[in-house]
Amino acid sequence: MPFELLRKSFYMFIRDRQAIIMFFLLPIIMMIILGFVIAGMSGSTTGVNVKIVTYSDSPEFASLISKEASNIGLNFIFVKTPDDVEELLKAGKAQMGLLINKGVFTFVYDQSYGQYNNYLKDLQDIIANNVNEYLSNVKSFIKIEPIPAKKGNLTVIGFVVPGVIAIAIMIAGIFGMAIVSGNYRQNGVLKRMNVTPVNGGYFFLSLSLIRFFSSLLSAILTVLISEIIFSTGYSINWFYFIIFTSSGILLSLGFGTIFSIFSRDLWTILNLSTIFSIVMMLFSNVFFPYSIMPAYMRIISSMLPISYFAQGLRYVLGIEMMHTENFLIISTIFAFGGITMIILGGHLIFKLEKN
Amino acid sequence: MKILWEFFKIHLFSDFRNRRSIFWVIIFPVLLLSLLILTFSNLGVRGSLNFNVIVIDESGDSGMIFSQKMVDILKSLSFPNKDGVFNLTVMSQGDESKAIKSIMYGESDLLIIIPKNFDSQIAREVLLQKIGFNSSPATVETYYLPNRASSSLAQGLIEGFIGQFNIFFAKNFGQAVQPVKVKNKTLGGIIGSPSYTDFVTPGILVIAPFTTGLLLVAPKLAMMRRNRIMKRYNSTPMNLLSFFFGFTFSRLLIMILQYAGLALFAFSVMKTQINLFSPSALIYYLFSCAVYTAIGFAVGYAVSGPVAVSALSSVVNLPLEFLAGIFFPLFNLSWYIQIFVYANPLWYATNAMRQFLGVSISPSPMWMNIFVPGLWLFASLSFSLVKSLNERR
Repeated sequence: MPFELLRKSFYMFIRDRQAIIMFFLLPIIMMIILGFVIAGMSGSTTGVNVKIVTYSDSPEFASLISKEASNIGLNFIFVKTPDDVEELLKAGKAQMGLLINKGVFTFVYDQSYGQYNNYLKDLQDIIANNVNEYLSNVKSFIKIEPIPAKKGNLTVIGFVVPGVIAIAIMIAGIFGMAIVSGNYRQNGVLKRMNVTPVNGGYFFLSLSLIRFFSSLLSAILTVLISEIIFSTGYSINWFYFIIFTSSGILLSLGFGTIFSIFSRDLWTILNLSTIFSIVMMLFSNVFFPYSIMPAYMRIISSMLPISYFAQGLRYVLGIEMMHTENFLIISTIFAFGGITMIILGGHLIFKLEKN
Repeated sequence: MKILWEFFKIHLFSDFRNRRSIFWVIIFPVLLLSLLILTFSNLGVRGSLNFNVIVIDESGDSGMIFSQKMVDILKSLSFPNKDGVFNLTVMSQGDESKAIKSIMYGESDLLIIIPKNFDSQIAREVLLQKIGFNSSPATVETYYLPNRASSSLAQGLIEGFIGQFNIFFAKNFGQAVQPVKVKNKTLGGIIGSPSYTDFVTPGILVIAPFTTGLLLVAPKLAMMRRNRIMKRYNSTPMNLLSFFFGFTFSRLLIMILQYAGLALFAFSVMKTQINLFSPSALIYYLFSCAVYTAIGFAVGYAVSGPVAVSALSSVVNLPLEFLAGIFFPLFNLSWYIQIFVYANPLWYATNAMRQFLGVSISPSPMWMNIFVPGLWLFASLSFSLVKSLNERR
């Protein structure tokens, strides 16, 4: 019986174009688009990669600021006229402008960058301090020697992409499973299955397993494609990768099943999935680090599985360290929680349909 | 006209009675706006930053106060002091490897090590300067992870403070410091300094009708096509245009109500200061509603059923919103992603709405903000018309 269910689920899956798009293509598309947007924001090589379009009437100042500020990830683009500064800024080719005219430093911002300008204003202070030191002939009593705590290919995009992949896998799993379960409930398929000897838990497990393999394959492809597109230079522990990604996929499929319990209406189930996915994305610690969030939001973030999934993926891709016991605990909770939610959820849905 | 009115009423009231429509029209945009503001309203504001910094003073008991002074300055920049920017943990000598591990495991963002000879180096530096000789400054090592945003930001922040340390020491040794004249200029500024609420509200006013267009037009149309309701209409003397306008006007009214509700919420609860009832914004909003309704028609004709619409909208919706710069600004994008941005009607709508609502001048020319969505409107309507005529045959 379980094998027959698996075989049937497989055929139903490969005939379902939408399911294939959802599980196979969605993570890849999301990784590419979100990866590029985040890479553009944060720079691909360093954490703070800000392009500053600069006009200077003094070559002395020009060489000073480019020398002083290059070690903190600032990239100065020198132009010939003050108008060029505004032009490049408006075209989105730089984040900030600087006009040095008769010793006056005018920092130029673009209002359409919104709150991002707050960070840039901090950089303004750094540049101004460096220039002050030079102008007043302040000797450097202290200098900083930044040392990366870890060696290797440490690019921002390499750090961000695993988080984006984690989000893409989770969203695909939740929506994919919610759509198929909601659709079966709404169309009365599960009600009819109640008169057969099929067990609800087994049925949902068979649906999940087929989607699980497809999602796992997609995750592997997503990582390989991200390597090609973003030159992320991962040192992948494939065994750990498969274990951890599998546990995350199972968890997302479990969430999709659980959401289907709440309603017989597919759209209501999709509404729930949408809210959950958006909350997960915003608090994932992927797009913006915890350090800029209000304290109460950090608590919510720590309760959501996505940040742990992203952290674990960074670990298996060789980007970040993680305590082995944490890795094992998270994998076990994800896998066990996911399978439990699928079996119990399936069982409960069948029971609800019966009543 | 009577038939048009009947269609208008039927579709309008059917959505008022429908929980899922209520969700997408009211609850979803309000929830999204609230979540975004609650999460990112402190974005980049100095008082809201919270890095974990470790300092190890290895200089020991040298009898001089320079290293202690530096630790004190770091303490003054940390919590619970007002405008603190990090949590400071002072570790003792010998804990270096433990502290580095803490950085590598992501538990802390930055490690500052004040070296053993720090005090003597600064004392020598002061002495040599007084007699006119040059010497090398005292080196403070910082350990960080350049690829982790919070670690890198913390490193940049400390780098910036070093300038202040040097000026502090220089002033203490009697040197006059002439600050450079610094000015600010903001391009495209309409209101003084917009908050994140002001920045994101125009974007939400774009997402809301887009979602309505996609989810209150396309699935309904797909369902009517699947159940052959459109074919049955064809066998009646009813004019196709009555259905089209009745259905479309009911969507437009929902979108107008959506604007009013969202504007009221943003103004009264979220305290936005943007000009929500600017006539230009309202006219552009109506134009956007027409574009999104047309896109909804095209999607409804392009896909086979309501479930397919949900799958398609899940795939399309999120990337389009990200590539519209609604949640955060877009820059440094590769040319091939830029193509998607330039083709994205939501990007133009967000730019235009930000200008009309008084947040910032649109980075794209206003004629483009009308022309490109207009192209979408034309293409979507043409596609829907061709499909509709084919199905009639």
